Amino acid sequence: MSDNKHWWGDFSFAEQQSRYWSIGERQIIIKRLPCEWNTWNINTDSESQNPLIFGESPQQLLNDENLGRHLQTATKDKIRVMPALADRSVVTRPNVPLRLMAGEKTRLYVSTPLWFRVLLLDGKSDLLDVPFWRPSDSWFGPSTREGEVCYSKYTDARLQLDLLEQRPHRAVTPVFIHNKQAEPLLIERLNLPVPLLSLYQHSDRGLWTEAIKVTREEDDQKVELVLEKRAPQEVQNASLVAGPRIAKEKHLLIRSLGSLFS
Amino acid sequence: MEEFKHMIELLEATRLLAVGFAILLLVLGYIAGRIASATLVKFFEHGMTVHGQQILKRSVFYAVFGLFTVSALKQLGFDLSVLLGAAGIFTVAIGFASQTSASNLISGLFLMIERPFSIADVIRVGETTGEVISIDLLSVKLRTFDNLFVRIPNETMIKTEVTTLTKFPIRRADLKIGVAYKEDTVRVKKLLLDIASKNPLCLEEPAPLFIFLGFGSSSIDIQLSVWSQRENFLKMKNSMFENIKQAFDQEGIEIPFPHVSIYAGSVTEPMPITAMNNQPIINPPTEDTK
Repeated sequence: MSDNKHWWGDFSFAEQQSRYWSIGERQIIIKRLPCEWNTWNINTDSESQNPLIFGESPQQLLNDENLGRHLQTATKDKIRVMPALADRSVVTRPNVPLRLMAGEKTRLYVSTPLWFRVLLLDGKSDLLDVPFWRPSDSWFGPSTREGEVCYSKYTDARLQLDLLEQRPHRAVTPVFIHNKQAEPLLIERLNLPVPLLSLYQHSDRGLWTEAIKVTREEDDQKVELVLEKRAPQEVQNASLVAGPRIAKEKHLLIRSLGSLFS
Repeated sequence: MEEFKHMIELLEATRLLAVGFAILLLVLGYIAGRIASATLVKFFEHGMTVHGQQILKRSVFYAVFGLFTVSALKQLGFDLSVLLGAAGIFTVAIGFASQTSASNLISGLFLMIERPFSIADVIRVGETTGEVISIDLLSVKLRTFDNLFVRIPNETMIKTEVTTLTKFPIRRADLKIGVAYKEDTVRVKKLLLDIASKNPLCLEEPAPLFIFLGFGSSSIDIQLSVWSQRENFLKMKNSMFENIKQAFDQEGIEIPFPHVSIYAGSVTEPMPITAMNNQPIINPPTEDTK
């Protein structure tokens, strides 16, 4: 068993070899056979606080219950394991609504859940794309007719970096909010477009995404959303681990206020 | 040669040639209509719904076929203006004779314009729920979930209430739950909302709704309204009921079934009870009668 910080990267498998990744009881096992890959995705109900460990030859007895079989003519010896952000937007909800006073700016830190992604090196197709713990579904929109399905999560929306707990199955997104209007901005919910974000890895501080800059202009209901192109200032020398799920052309997005806050 | 001339004369006299031409035109029209509609649909296939494709296909086919029919009629020597005039009278006669079909036809046109649902939507008409396979001039065809083919006349669709289940992306499930009178409703409410928040398929927003329905005959009736994505609706409903049963069993919250207490009343005499000595009791007494 190893307690390495890099649980992702290219892993080579001999035939009949298996490897595992686990956080407490939550376990993902991959086994290579001559003509197929077998994956076991063993879920648990509640999130574990344990560190992520990975290694060879899992102890657990494997049955067909969580088995996934992925057939190929002949399996290659390498696969790529990658962390990924959620496949839909994540709505985070501070446990207490926040009010950003008129003309003020703030920098919040929000952590969002990670997905475990396994790719075949040749075809670039996914062998596995599963969340460590599936967040609850939610709906974000002005009515039950209009809006988008997203994931939901309660958060403390930390203001200080030191208070943020570092977890192997979460990534931190800094959100910079500037309220230029003469009225306070009430933040009850914040919709983070995580499929547009990339993942960066810092040697001490874990996984981060680029910062999101939100500016609420003086005389408009529209907000300007800028996704920074590089690692956030808190982890400046971090290296890129994974690109965004949805490639975006522009880094400046104009959204209506209602599509980000409510 | 003589015979051939005779033949032509005979054909002209009996107008068989014209009739032959007319039939040929009709057949050609049918084929041309089919080809034209299929080609057009193939051309516009991308960016069009199945419903739109079908409407395009039909209108092109009927237009082409109609043109060929008109020229076939001309070939037969019909004067179209007279024919149209006659058609007026004819329509009245036909109208009376085929009232239902005509009404279905008109209803079908309205349905196509109004578009309360399109092909592949799931709708409920009266007792029938199913997926729409096609919307035709006379009827709408459904496939029910037990794989039966149901034909519903368009007139019925226009007249009755039709529910489209797949119009909006999210749906609400109303779970009816009864708990025993002895239970603490505040605790039950907390437990139910907790179950909803733990179920990943149950949406956080719109928030689950806890409704106190009233005091039933043997239970306190509660409704828990929870939202889910449309495609997860049944899965969510099932898993919620399963979770509720499990949690209630764990927490010792009783889900009652109807109780009947026999009360003799103050006016009537007490119920006579006979003691049976030295006889084995076949059914042991329940707690209530002890």
